[in-house]
Amino acid sequence: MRKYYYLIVFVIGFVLQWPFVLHKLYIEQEKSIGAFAERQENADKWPEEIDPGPEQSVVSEVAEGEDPGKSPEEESVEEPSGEREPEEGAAEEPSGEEPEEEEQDEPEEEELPPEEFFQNTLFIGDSRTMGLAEYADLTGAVVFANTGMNIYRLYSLKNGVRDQEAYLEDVLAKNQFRKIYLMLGINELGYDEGQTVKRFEEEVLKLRELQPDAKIVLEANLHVTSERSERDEIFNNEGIDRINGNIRQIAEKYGFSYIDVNEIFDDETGGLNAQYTHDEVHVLGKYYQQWADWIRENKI
Amino acid sequence: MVFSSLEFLFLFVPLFLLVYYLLPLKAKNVFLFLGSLVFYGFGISWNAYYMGLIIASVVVNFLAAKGIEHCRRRRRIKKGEEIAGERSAGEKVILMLGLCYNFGFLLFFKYAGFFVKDIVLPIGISFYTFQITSYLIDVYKRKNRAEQDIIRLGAYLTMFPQLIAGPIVTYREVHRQLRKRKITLLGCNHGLQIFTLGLGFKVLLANQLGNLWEDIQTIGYESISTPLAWLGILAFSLQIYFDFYGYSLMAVGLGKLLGFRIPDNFRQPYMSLSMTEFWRRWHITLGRWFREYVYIPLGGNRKGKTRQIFNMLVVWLLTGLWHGANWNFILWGFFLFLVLCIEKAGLIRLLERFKVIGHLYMCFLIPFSWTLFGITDFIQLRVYLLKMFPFLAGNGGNHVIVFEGDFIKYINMYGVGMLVGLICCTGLAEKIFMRWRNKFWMSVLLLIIFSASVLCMYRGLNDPFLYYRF
Repeated sequence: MRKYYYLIVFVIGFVLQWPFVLHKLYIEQEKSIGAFAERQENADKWPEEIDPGPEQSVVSEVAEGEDPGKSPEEESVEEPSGEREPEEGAAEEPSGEEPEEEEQDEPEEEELPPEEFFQNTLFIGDSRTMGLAEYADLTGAVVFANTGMNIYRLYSLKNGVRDQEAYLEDVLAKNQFRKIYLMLGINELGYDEGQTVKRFEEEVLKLRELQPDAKIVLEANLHVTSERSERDEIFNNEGIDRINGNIRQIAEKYGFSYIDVNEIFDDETGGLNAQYTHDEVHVLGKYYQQWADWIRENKI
Repeated sequence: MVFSSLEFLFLFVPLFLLVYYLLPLKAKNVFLFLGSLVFYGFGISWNAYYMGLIIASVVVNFLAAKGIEHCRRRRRIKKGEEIAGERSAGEKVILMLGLCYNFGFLLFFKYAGFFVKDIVLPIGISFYTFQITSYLIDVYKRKNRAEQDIIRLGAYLTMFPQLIAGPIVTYREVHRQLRKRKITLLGCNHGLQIFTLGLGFKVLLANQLGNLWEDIQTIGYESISTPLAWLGILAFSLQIYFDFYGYSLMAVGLGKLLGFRIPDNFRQPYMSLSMTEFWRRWHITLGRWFREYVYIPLGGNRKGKTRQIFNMLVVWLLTGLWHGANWNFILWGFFLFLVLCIEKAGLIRLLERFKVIGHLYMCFLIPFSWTLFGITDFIQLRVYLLKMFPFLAGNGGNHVIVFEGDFIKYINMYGVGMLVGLICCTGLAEKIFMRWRNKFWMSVLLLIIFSASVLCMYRGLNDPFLYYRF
């Protein structure tokens, strides 16, 4: 009997796990069939109906072209942000402030030498912002970021950056920031979109309340590579562009700045350039400095 | 369909075993052959050419072996009696044609990559080609008779436990079991235990440690610190071991469930005192193949020192090439050849006498050789090696920012896994298992390992990184 203990224990354990696993496999099967069917459908109506890319990007490129603060090579960007309904959301309920996003560099910042550009600055974000903290020179900045950070867990998740305050509440309580950069949204893609946008808006307003003197800069989320985008049902560029469009609308509504780093990292297909990344989601360590420099050069 | 997938564990294996156990022996082989082809079909996404290729391999070698025996018999009848050791022209021609056929396809698929990109390798071809050629050569050398039943030969070659990642089983080892095998409850019990251990190594250790290596790719070699470079290659060394060892254990365990004795492929290689010893304990069935079918036919060590060194060079360059179509594998094979020559020249006596020196020496050499193995791009390899040995870089202007103390972050994340891995390298886990394997608590422990592995697979379905979290 003793010799067969494992056989018996194993069979019992196995049979108990079986229904759960089969259920899971069934769900996955359904999902992949569903995704396949959807792709087939899209493939049928490819050129005319579902190709918002090129046309829209022409429109937005013109809009971006007016921007005096950009360097020449940025004009070659193909698809800045796949925003769905552009200006309309901005029109309702103007909250008194002028949208300062598009045009002017603020004079006070021009006075700062580049090495002090990030003095009294706070960065909030997920693992991409963490990479920025670890592999770019952000002298003077405080970073609050962690892998898997999202707008819902902003005050419950600990800071992943070493030697800094663990919780956002303390970070905000102990400092008086001049500027706050916020890049969140990709981890929220699995959640309900309307819910996420609402929460995003609330959290940004709360930030403004807690740090009234800080200039808030909302960052568009970095794209993933087009290859990754095609095989991922959730974390794809379509979803990222949608959330970026929503963030941009929030920025316009309340007069926050909005910057889109994709213009330096995108390739011609509108995804993250595969040469800049290994895992198709994060840029390699050596490119984070370019990102930081780009923020400095834009002086936003 | 890999062993560490839910489809395999919860659909393929139970259904297969259920039918397999109910069938009589003769039908068991047919079912094993067909079932293995189904298993293979999942692995190659039902590519008809690749399926045809493996079936053709069975048919061609079946006929070639019969042809060799036919020539032999005709000659015996003609000449009356046979001169020992002599082979007729017919036998030689058939063997040569057979080898050209087998290695032709292997070379084509594997090394077209040197010249053309985007050729997808039929999964398992390196393994099954080596198996079937060992069969053919053994028939030619009269170490075993030609198989008269094509189903049996097919079952031998395609047997799913060893089809896609070895061990490289020779026909001689299993031909008796192909005819007559006893499946006992005791064997099943033991097989399940070994399988579970292997699954745990693969899913709980190798996959987790693999994430650290993956993290380093994500950061890029230019941006890592020297300690992190060493930590990374240590993780890679552990990952490659537990991945392959786990897989081999699973093959042995599945073999037992089917009534076969599949040979062991690893014997705590990381405890070796020299590279020479390491390669007798790492991927044993591959080393055995090269010794038996390349090194000894070339003359081994019987034709003088110079010839022996040449033979070693051939074996190690081929071993390098076998692992992949990239120049770094040739560099790796050549490096191993050099190390083995130096050891042969006398170093090995020192290493074996002073065990501490032997272990320290291997502590350095194992990760170093895996660096050459693991990084396929020479430019990247150079960057990584300069990170490992920064004093070689001089003051060459490197402006890339390195995250100070990055290794602390990764020790916090992977330290426990690495420690467990290092302990398991000593063979302690196997010793504990063997000592108390009939205890009830051991059965519970193994079930916990199995369930934890299943949970990992369950959460990370179709996703090697467990979670999508950025």
